Amino acid sequence: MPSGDAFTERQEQEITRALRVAWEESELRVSVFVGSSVGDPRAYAERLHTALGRDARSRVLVLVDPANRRLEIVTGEDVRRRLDDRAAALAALSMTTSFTVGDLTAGIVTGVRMLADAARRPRVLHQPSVS
Amino acid sequence: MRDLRVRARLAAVAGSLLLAVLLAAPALAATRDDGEEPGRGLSSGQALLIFIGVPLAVAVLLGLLTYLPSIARGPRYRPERTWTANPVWFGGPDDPEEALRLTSPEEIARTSRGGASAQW
Repeated sequence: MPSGDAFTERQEQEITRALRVAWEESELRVSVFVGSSVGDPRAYAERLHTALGRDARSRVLVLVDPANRRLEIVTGEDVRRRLDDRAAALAALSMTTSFTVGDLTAGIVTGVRMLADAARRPRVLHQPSVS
Repeated sequence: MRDLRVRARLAAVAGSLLLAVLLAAPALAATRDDGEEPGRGLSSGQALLIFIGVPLAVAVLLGLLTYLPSIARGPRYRPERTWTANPVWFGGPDDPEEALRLTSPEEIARTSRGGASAQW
């Protein structure tokens, strides 16, 4: 039964600013959905990602489901090339650490920043192989 | 042995009662001085107001001072409580419901995606 807002105005501003910075500094377009997922969280997150429209391939969707304590990060096909799943998992881990102590805003802001930082790393074509 | 213990206990109880009376002894010296004119006693309404109303008001005030900041800050997420807030979508489509309605399973299945899942 929905009642009340998830965030105060100030918290919303913080999140919006993090998203803007991610775009300005890394050209990474992140969208954050905070709410209960319908059905399987991963499937719902992918549905939300698709709903972002034509440029979904180059966008990232973050689903935060506090009711089910689930976090899903969905990266589009194009984004995936500069933001691999390991970087997404690292951001997810950092986000859930904040969520555990009840700070949704800080978790989201940190996660978006980490995703943006990971995406900014320039691609190295001739990388020395590390074994 | 047991008898002794019972006696010690009785002595302690009696002693503490006696001590309380002894400590209150100065009250017995409260005789009326010359020229002292006590006013009328409190009515029961006034007594209730002063001895129950005032402490209650203080308690309510302290309670307000304690809870007001968190009330003003708005709802806060607590992992152990159920989530009841409205869904929010930052950077989402202008019309989320319409956009979600238009996504077909085929469209979702068409492209590959990456990312991560986590629980807390």
